[in-house]
This record gives sequence, structure tokens and C-alpha cells, in this order.
Amino acid sequence: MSQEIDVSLVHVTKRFGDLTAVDDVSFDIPKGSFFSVLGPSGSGKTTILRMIAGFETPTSGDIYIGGERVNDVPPNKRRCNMVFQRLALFPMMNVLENVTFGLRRRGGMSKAEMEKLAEDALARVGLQGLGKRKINQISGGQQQRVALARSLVLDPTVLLLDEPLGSLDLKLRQAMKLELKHLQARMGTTFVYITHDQTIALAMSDTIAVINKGKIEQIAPPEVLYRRPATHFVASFVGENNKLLAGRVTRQVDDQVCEVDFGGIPMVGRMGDPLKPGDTVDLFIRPEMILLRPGKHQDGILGKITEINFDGSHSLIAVALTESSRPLAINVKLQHTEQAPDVAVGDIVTLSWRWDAANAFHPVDQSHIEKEA
Amino acid sequence: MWKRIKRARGLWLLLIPMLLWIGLLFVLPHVKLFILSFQERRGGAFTLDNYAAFFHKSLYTKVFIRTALFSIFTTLLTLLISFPAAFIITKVLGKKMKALLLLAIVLPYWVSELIQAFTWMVLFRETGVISYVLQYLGITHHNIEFLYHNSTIVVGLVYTSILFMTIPIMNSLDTLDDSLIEASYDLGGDFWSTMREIIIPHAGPGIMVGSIMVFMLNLGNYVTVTLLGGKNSLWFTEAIYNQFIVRFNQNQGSAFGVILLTFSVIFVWIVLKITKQDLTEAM
Amino acid sequence: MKRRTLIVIVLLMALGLFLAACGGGSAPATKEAPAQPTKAPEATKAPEPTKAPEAKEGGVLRMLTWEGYAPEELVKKFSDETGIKVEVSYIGDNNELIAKMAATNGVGFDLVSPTLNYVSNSQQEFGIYQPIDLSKVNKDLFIPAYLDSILKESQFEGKPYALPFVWGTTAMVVNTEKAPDAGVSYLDLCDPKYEGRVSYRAKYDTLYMFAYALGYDPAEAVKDEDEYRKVMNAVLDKLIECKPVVRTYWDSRQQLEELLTKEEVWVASSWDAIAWTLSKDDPKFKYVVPKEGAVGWFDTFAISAGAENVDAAYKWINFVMQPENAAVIINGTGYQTASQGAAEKASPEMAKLVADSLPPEKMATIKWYFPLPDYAVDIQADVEEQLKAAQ
Repeated sequence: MSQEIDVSLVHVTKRFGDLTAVDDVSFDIPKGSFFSVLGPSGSGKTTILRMIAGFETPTSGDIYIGGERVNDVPPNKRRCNMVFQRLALFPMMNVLENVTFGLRRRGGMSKAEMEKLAEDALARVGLQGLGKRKINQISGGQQQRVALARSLVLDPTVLLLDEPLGSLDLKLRQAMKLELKHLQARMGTTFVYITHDQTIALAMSDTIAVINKGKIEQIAPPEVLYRRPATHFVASFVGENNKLLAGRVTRQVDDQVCEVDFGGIPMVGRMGDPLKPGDTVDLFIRPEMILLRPGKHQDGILGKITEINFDGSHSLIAVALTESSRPLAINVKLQHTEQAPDVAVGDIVTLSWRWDAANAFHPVDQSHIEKEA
Repeated sequence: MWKRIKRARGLWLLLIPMLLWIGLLFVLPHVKLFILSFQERRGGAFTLDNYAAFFHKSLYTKVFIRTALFSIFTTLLTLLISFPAAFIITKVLGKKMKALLLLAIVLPYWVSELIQAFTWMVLFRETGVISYVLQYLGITHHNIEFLYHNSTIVVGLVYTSILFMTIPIMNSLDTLDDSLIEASYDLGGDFWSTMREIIIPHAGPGIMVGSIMVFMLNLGNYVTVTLLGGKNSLWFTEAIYNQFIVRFNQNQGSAFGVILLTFSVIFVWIVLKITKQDLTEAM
Repeated sequence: MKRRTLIVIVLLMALGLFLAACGGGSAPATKEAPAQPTKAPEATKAPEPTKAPEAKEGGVLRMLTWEGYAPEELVKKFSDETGIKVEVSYIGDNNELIAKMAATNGVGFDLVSPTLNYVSNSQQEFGIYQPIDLSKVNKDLFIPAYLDSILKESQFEGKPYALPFVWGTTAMVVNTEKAPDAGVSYLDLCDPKYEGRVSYRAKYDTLYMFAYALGYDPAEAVKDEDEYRKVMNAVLDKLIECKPVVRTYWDSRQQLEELLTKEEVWVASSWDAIAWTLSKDDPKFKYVVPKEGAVGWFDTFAISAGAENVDAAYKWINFVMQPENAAVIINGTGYQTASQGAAEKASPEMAKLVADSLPPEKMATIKWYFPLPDYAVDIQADVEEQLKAAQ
């Protein structure tokens, strides 16, 4: 099924002086989808959003909204609205006036009609009856909703969100996260969400674009992103990982799977990059995908438990690989199910995983990733 | 406990110079002025004649109204000129230009008002710089006198008060989050609606402080008005000066002073009410 | 936050400067022709207690006078010659002088210098002076016309109370290149021929000039309140009628000099000293006394009623009026004195200007400032204000 495209970036580049903030970025956002741009701070994601909103003009390349090229359309004429990081509610107006602001600018409506629409929008975000409140008289979560209602009341083609949940505390953030997703599903508006928080992006998005240093690393649905990261950066930035550095490829099993040697211990993994025997690789292994069995078994890697961190639904178990020629440790996330083995610090265990639980990439210069991640 | 009391007492000591300053130089003279204004010139018996004289002599009411209207007009004009300047300095320019322009606004106040007024005279007089330049450019072929007009008074007053308008407005615009302006545009606002609904309401307190200060300064101006105004320049402050210095009529002069003070207080209060501003908030 | 604080400080500093400027700039310190209003002065404060100075041969002479009237050079010379110690206090205006004298009935001062129009009326009111003993005065030192005139004008109950000292006049200054015909009458200041080229003060001296020019005698009219108001209102009407001709009313010497030298103004009222200074640099400027006569002021010598050293006071008078000594005062102040021959000693060039502008026949027409009752002060101030307010 060919999908209708709402927002389209075609080879967009943005430079500020010597700095290239956005470097030849292209993507399409299908109508009605929840699209996230995920990246560390300074990666250029905010610049992308501001270009879509119209506050910045691309140095080269084109931006389309609803099929129309909008490079030269000022922000107040674009069919997209933005929810700002710091919300940018108008403190000199009450809640209702904030929500009707855009309608008043648009005109062609009676005051009563505007207020009706605004009340509807407020009801949609669960704020019915609060219209007369001052902005500083409502809580942070409520302000969040006002900011949403203020944009949604205009029925935009695209809603741009600049990490609006960042300022909330954890619990509220979790609640708002779900609400936002439900709202988006209900309204069918295209959401473009900017964030550096991968848990939010993974939980809400239909599609995620991971961006680093102004360049797109991977565009994919959350699950694909998580299971089959396309680049070394994505693998290390998205989700928790055991990161084993500088192993050597010993064998290419087929076009997807390879065997890697770390300190004399053979391991298996998916080839993220095209690899051939003898290549140096980094291996990323998801801790929750590792099978941990007490005692010695032939079909696995032997290790000794050095630390157990209990965390309610699961425990994080640190295992030192005893047969390795260099010190290696692997963390295992053990779900507390009925079948979960009883283990203690000092126990000898055997670790094993399916080939697609691990991803192998050519090493890159690590310094910047560690700093930013 | 003892420590706390001691600390509190120390703080009070710090306030003493200011209290003395206000008490001795502001409150006491004004109380004296107020009492004098209700006394007869000779003998000091209670009387309302000093106030009656103000309302009966059309000269004084005329001069007073003229002074008040001029002050209001120049205050508005100053606001009209200062606001865009303050906006551009705080919101549009880069750091370097910002500092430069701020300096350009502050610098003229390093010389006294008297010297400023003389400078204006050098510029504006018939044989002055502006007249010369106009002739040099061929725009006119004879000398033009710019001094001694009402408009010269207005120009002078606006000039002497720009700083006192610009700085408070800059101060309040500084606290305006740029994303508010962006949000307005994003929601379909244009330049004028953003100005009207977001920027001016936000700068309201600064505009109020600036306007009050400038209005008071204009109302009480003496030097600029007399030097630039020439033969038609009678200002209410000059009438007060005449009462004290020329006529030796302290009582009449005091009554005029009280009238001027009362008017400015009431006027400021009304404006605050109309614009729904709070003085404590504005200050 | 830091930036805000900085801004506030800058603002306060600027405001402070501004107010300081307002306070400092309001009263230019010029010695005006001292026809300040006579008003019953309140006894403000007693003069400083007189310490009993060691009376050497001549004792001590205590003077109350104007800045420049007892220059240090002369004081030292006088003390050296006579052995009399001199203590000088200064006054800013005649009311201050009268207030100080009245507070102690003249005790504390021997010799004072009131302006002529304040002598007889304050003597009448407060009795602060004693009659002049002409036998102690070297009359040859004085220009006879001045001596006679002042002795006559300062009379109270038939006795003279003042001797002539320093004088000045107000008449017109004319740029003879631009307005060769001007200066015949004060009404030339109202001639449409000179529209926009005229300046004078919106002050009492102008009121007197126009009163005389319109044929009134304000010195006589001032004795009756209604009469004086009538005269002054007639003057006001004339001045309002003349307003379109005036470029601006001048306030300070510097302002008048600029208006004239830049030729923005051709005909103006002027103090003699201003005009003479201008003529010295450029002869096209001329001090002209029109047919109505100059308006003049005369500062005098008067002996305090409470004088403790009357002899020393006369010795000082006879000393200062010697031409070479009076010349020091002329050079210091720019005013003329009643000393015979002093002007020539001071500056022959200036003496010629004075003689040209004020030959004996013009001297005779000088209209001296007259004493002002309270109501006259108010009437004049009313006229001045209404003149400035008239559009």
C-alpha cells in the first residue's frame, strides 16, 4: 500500500557558519504516523524540527509539507504547529486565551465558536473547565496539556514536539507518554517528536530516525532499530548493551551470521557491517537475551557471578568469563519468572545466546559516542 | 537566638542612611511645603487663598495645562521612539552591537543636562550646524532657525528622557523568552499581533516604569525647557521658581508645588488603573 | 541577573547626574542689575559674633559688600597704609544685606554697599544707617554730577545716607552694519523692520524701558498700586504686540553675546559692560542710549547705624575713590565707578567708549532704579509671566 506522505525532507543541509548542523538529511513521514527523531544533544535534531516549523531555512535541499514545498513559507503560514520544549505558554493570558490564540489569528470565526473549539480541545487533553485559570495557577502536567491543546485546536497537518516531556518528573513523564500516544492514535495527526530519550522514542513511535552529528544513522520502526541496529552508533545508543571491544572474526557462517573470538572464547553474532574473517569487531549483546544456566555446560561460555543487583522484576547479574585470556565481563538481565534459576555470587554459570541477540560492527572512534551517550 | 537578633539589628543599621536620606531630604521638606501652602504670606494664618489663586488666575491654569499636555505628549513620543530601540537592542542585535548601542544611549548622560541643552543650541540655532548642513546640501538657501519653537522643546525633552524609557523596557524585554515570540508566529501570529498580544503585554511593567519616570522628569524639567523654548516657553516649574525667587512668595510657590505633586500622583494612579498595572509589580 | 543589576546601577547614576544638573543649572551666577524687589526682610540670622580683635593703631574695619568691590590687592594696600585691619563679608542681593543689617540694627558692620534704590526706604523701615558726614569725605575724588545726584536720591528726612560708588546702565546694543538706524528709541525693539532680529530680557529692566518709551513715569506710578498696575498692563500689551518681532528673550550674558556675534540678533537691550566688551573687539557693535535715557543702577557706600569704627569707614571711602585704586575695581568687575579719572587710569580705550556712549547730557537722562513696594514686585512678576505665556 503506498502511503500518503505528510512531511518530506530531500537532501536537506543546514550550516551555521563553519558548523554543519544538518548534513544531507532525507526522509519521508507518512500521514498519521508518530515519527521520532532521536539523537544525543547537539546532533542536529532540533535544527531539523525548526526547519520543518519554519524558524530556520535550509542551506540546501527542500522541505515539503503535505506535498507543498515550504522552504520560503513563513512559520505562521505553515500547516504545522509546534509544542515547545519549555512550552512557551503565554503567561499574560489565561488557559482559554492561550488555546484560542491561534484561532483568533486565523479569524473568520465568532468568539463563541472559538471558545467552543478551545473547550473541545481542552476536553480532549483532559482539562475541561480550567479555561479561566492563569498559566501560573496550573501544574506542570496541566501546562503540558494546554500546550498540546493550543496546537491541536488548529487541527494542524503536522504537530511538532520538541522534547516537551523533558521537563516533567519521571512518573508524570510515563503517564504523559502514554496519553500522548493515545491522543495521536485517536486524532490521526502526524506527530514529529524530537528527543534524546530513547525509552520515550521506542515506546511511542511508529518510526524512529536516529541522528548523529547531523547525519541520519538509521530510519526504522522501534523493534527493528532495537533488534537490528544498522550502525555501530545505533547499537551503542539505543537500548542497554554489553559492549565487547576489539574481537576478531574467525568465521563467516552465512550472509548474516559470523563467529567472533574474544580472548580465546568463541562467540556468535549478527553481522551489522559486512565482515570477513580476520576483521576486528566490536560486539553488542543485549543483556536480556542471554540464557544463564547454573553449572558447567558444553554448549556455552563459562563464567563466575561477581555481583547481583536486584531490581524487582529482574536482577542484573555480572558474570566474569573465567576461561578468557583477558578480563571480560558480561551483564545478564534475569527475569524473575517461575523458571528462573536460583543463583548467588561466586556460582559458576554457563551463558549462551542466539546469533541475533548480538550485533557485530567494525570499531569506530569511540570517544565521542561515550561522551554523548 | 541572640545571634539572630544581632543579625536583624545589623540589618536595620544598614537601612539608616537611606531612611535618613528619605526622611530629611524628601519627607520633611514636603511636609514643610504642604504646611506652607496653607499659610498666609504674612502672619502664617490658615488660608486656602494660595490654592484659590491657582484656579482664579487663568495664567497659571493655562501654563499648568500646557505643561501637563506637553509632558504627556513627550512621554508618548519618547515611548514610541524608545520601544523599537529597546526591542532591537535586546531581541535582534548580536552581543557586540548590543553593547555598542547601549553605550550610545548611556553616553550622552555622562554630561549634565545643561551642557546637553547648550549642545542642542549649537546644533539648532540659525547659524548652527544643522542650518549650515542644509545649506551646504543645497536643500535651502538661507539660514533656518530651529530654536525657540515648541517642537524644539519636545525634541529636547525626548532626548533627555530616552535613557529612562529605554532601560526599563530593555530590562523587561530581556526576561521575555524568545520561544514565546516563536510560539506566536507558529500559531499564525504576524508581527503586529505578536507585538500587541505578546511583546507589549510582557514589557508592560517596563513601559510603565519608564513612562512614569519620563513623565515626572518632563513635568519637573526646567533647564531644557527654558533654554530651548525661547520666548514662549513658560513652564509650570518656572512659575514655581518665580514664586520662590522673584516674588519671595514661598506660600504661593508651595501651593503650586503641592498642586504639581498631587497632579502627577493622581495622573500616574489613573494610568496604572486604566492599564491594569500594579505599581509594586511595575517597579 | 548580573546584567540587570548593572543596568539598574547605570540608570541610577544617570538619574543622579540628571538631577544634579537640574539643581546646578537653574540659577546662572551673574550679578544682575540689582533692582531686586524690596520686601520686608525677615531677620534671618545674626551676623557672626564679632571677636574683639586686637585693636592696633587703626582698629578693624568690617565691610559688607559685593564680590569684587573690595579686592584683596586694595585691602592689603589699605592695611599697609593705615594699619587698619579689614574684614570683608559678601552679599548676594540687597535683601540679604538688609536682612543682615536689620537683625542687629547694623551692629557688626561699619561700611556696607547697598544699591541706591534700597537706601532711603530701608532707612525709613529699619533705621540701619547713619547720615553721611560730608566733612570727612574728600569730595574732589568724586565725579561731581554723581555725588550730587546720589546725595540727593539717598535723602531721608533731609539728610543724605549714601555716597556714589559703582554704577552700571542698561540701554541698547546695536549692530551698526545691519541696523544703522536703530537706537533712537526703545520702541525700535518693536520695529517690524527688525522682525526676528531683536532680543531683550523678559524682566523688569525691559518693563521700565518700555514704560518710559510709552511716555509713562514708572518711578512716579509705583507709588500707587492701581496706577502702577495700569502702567505695567499697558507695557504688557505693547510687549505682547511686539512678540513676533522678538527672536528670543535673553537670560544670560553669554547668550546675548552669542546672539549678537553670530548676527542672529541685530538690536537688543544690553548691559553697558556687555556692549562695551563687544565694541572693543568689533566696533560695529555700539552701546546706544536712546532718547528715553538709559536705565541705571548705583551701588553706594553707606555707614552702618551700629558702626564701631566710623573713621576707618571714611578712610576706606577716601582710599578706594582715588583713581588708581578705583581703576583696580573697574578692571576687576567691568563696571564703572564714581571716581574722577579712574576710567582713564583703568583703560583709556574703555574710558573713550564710556564717554562716547554716555556724554554728560546722556548721563543726565539716566533713569535710576526706583524703590519697589511689595505690590510692585508682584505686578512686575505677573507681567513677566504673562508675557512669556502669551502665544
